[in-house]
Amino acid sequence: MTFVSFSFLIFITLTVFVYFITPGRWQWVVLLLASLCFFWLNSRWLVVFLAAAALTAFLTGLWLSNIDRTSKKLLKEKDWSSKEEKKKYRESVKRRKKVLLFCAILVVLGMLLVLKYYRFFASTANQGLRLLGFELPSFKFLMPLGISFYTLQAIAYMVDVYRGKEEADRNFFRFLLFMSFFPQIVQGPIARHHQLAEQLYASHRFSYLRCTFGLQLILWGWMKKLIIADRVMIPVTQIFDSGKQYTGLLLFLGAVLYSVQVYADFSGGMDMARGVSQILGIELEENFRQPYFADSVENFWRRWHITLGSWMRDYVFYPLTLSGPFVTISKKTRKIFGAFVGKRLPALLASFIVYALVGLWHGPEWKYIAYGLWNGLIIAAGILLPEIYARMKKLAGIEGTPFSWRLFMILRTFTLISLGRVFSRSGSVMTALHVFKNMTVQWWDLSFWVDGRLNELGLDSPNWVLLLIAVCVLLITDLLHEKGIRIREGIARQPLIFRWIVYIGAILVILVFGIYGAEYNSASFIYEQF
Amino acid sequence: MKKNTIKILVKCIAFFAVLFVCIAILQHFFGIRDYSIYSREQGFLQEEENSLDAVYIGASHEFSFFQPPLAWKDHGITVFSYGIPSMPAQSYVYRVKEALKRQPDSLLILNLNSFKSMGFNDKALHRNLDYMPWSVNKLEMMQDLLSRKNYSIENRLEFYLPLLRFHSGWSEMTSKDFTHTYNGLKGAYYYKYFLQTSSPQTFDVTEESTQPDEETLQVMGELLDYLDREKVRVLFVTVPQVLDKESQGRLNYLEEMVRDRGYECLDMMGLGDTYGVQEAVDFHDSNHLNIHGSIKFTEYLSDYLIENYGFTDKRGRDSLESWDTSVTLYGDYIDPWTLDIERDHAPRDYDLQAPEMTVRADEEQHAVLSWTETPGADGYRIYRKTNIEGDTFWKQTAETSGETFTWTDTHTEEAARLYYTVLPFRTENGEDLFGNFSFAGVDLRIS
Repeated sequence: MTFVSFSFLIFITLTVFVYFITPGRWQWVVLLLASLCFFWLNSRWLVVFLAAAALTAFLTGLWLSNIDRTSKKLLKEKDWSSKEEKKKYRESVKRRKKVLLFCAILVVLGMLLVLKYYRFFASTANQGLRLLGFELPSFKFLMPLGISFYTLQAIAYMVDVYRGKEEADRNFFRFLLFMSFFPQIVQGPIARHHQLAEQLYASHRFSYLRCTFGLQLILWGWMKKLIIADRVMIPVTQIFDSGKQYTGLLLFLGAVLYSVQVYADFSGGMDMARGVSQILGIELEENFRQPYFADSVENFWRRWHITLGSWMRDYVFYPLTLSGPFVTISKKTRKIFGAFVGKRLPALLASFIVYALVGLWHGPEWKYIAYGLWNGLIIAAGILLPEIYARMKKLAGIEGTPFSWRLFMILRTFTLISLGRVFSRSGSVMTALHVFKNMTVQWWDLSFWVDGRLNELGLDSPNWVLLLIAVCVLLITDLLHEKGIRIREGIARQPLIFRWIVYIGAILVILVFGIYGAEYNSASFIYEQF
Repeated sequence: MKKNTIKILVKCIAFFAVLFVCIAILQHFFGIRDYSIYSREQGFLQEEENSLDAVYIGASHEFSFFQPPLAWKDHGITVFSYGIPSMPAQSYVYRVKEALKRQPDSLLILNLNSFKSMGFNDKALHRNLDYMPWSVNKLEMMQDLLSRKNYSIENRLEFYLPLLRFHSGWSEMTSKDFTHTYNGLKGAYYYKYFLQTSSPQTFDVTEESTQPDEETLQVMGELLDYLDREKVRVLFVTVPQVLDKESQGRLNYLEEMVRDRGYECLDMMGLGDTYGVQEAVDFHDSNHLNIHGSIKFTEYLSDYLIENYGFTDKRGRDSLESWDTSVTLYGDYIDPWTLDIERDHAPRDYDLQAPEMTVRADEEQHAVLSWTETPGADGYRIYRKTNIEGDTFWKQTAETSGETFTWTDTHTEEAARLYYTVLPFRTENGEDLFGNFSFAGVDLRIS
């Protein structure tokens, strides 16, 4: 049952109906049952992994909280013989908590590593182990729905409780709802406990305005998914998977189209998740902020999959840069290479690790790691070479940030991001390198615009025109959002007849121009597979 | 209930009503886009109630055999061709109910050939459902057919709203999709390819009887029970098809079954002897007649109906003007593909076999025809057509004696491709009787 299926529509309608006729204090139970039902329908018995992750995180939270409470009490009430003894006790508590957290993360992360990454690690390790005469067995495990998302949520929760930023949840079933909330389990956003849990447990009354806003988001998400993402997928699949040797700008067009596909697909799914939640009175975090208007790759990652970026920042990047080994590296390099390198090197190393992990999070293949490293490399260049960039800008006679310069930066960033995506879209790193090589062959050849080769990519002329119009609409909408114009509020202020024309028009447009049904099978969400 | 809640409810209901109307309008343009089916459904609705002599129900074996405008033109009988391609046997009882709603006193002619197998696919369902007018009967039919295929709720939706299936055709839509109307042909077949081709078939008719499977017996049993209950006037027919012995055996069994229940069954599986349809020249493919075969078949069945059911000649009645129109329309349609002797109902002798022809271009780019002797022929007429499409006609260009088997066309400058046929005839009591002919595959490229 995907977000773009009739059964999901029925499921949502029933859930919303039952949710709002249920007394407020029991509404969270409805959400929990709906979430488990959704999970069961999609992953069947794999729900045990979700339950195990939730139970581990929940018990760890309680345990950490208990350790904190008893240690604080003891520190306050016990008559300590010396400061040394008190310090030692504090350190022993910290150590206990650390060991506990480490073990819990190992359990939760272990499930993800085994189910999602075992095959990858085994095949990589076997390349070396074969030389020693043995190899690890190769298993392919079934992946529970949303494991990449709920694992990160569980880790964030446990670390936050460990850090004392978060109170431990004391009701397992409520916590299970936080872990399994069905609109976000498919492809995020990766929620933090303090942002989402209270909303989930609170009672909500039906609001007509909120409901229309939610429905608008769902419609908009469907339009992005069915009209743009699944349509653009057709030529992208042809270019990357057909085995035909495309060259030059046509290949580059494939990379650009894939960028459009991923954005429309992922952000469309996110809009649906946010729309459904909004109807229920729950505000999910925004995961996108007009990413293709970013003027640098670093800026892009602050706008794209925001919750993954902030998770990596809070639970990988900062802990790494502040860790003992990194501080030592910083000190040593400062001595040898000076302050400029010494200051930046730990951040650079941490960045590379973070982006390699971001890549690996997308999938257990080297191509995803390469995709992550590509981004890390560009960001590293941005960190190391700001003065060179400034000098180049000065040489070009550009002062300040005029529109043309900003436009150039945006296009440059989009190009770099699109080229990076060639790694994730190709079958392997080698294939991606082959694609790059072919891009340079007859790169000037623009004849595919006129000689009918575009129509051989699976879309006829009217479909290309429609795609172009739809992408323009998406671009304009993002531009309005970038300028802080709230479209939904604007629509809500219009007379009823106008609003109905917009709503009915959108539904009819989706019905006619959407890629779905037996003639075209609607594709699975890309991020659902991650 | 609070005033505000009522207001919201009313708004929601109004919104969904408007949305429903919009989708219904949109749906009109998105179906299986086979407008011959649309015409048959709409045409049947437009017939004056209780005005037809007979309603002929079946799959493509029905409408590729019987041509209502010809039956009206030559005999003045009103037999509407209410056939839908790939009509599942399971839908017969519902089609019978649909027919009886508007034509309760008509004879129903039911083609048994559809009962040779119980299988049907999505396409067949869309053909049979998309243009059928909405009614309780249609809903029951959908429910029945879809249940038999064990469709999930999600998969059933496309049959209730074909737009969901065919929306992707928007980029290929033409003005015809927005302007299609009833073609006025009374259900006569309206796609041309079988008109221009013949495909020789080999039939192996068996008299043996084989018991069909449970489902077939159950479907047939339910149909017969319904006919008994409603006391419907019915004639079952079977028409020639290339079938394996087992399928034929099942049809033979069903023929016996309906006869045992007291219904008449006209077995037309046998060829030639009775109505002149020939294996060599009158079939488009293994299941369907070409236009020349359907002219012979229509003539035969019309005579049979008049003789056995007392149908009278109604030509000239004001209320049946639309049938005269159908003759004109159908004539416009078939004239480019038929010979004058077919249209004029010249006397025929189907024993005169079609000669085998060859055509070649000589050095002077003249077309040289040769053909084999047709035993019993006193002469041959040579016809020519300059375009295989429907904008030219077959014209007689020469006539030879019975001893001449070659002829050269020296006027070949008119077209790059030329098509010929040779029509054998014999003379009896001063009257020419015309035999069979074939022009399939006879074309000539003047280089």
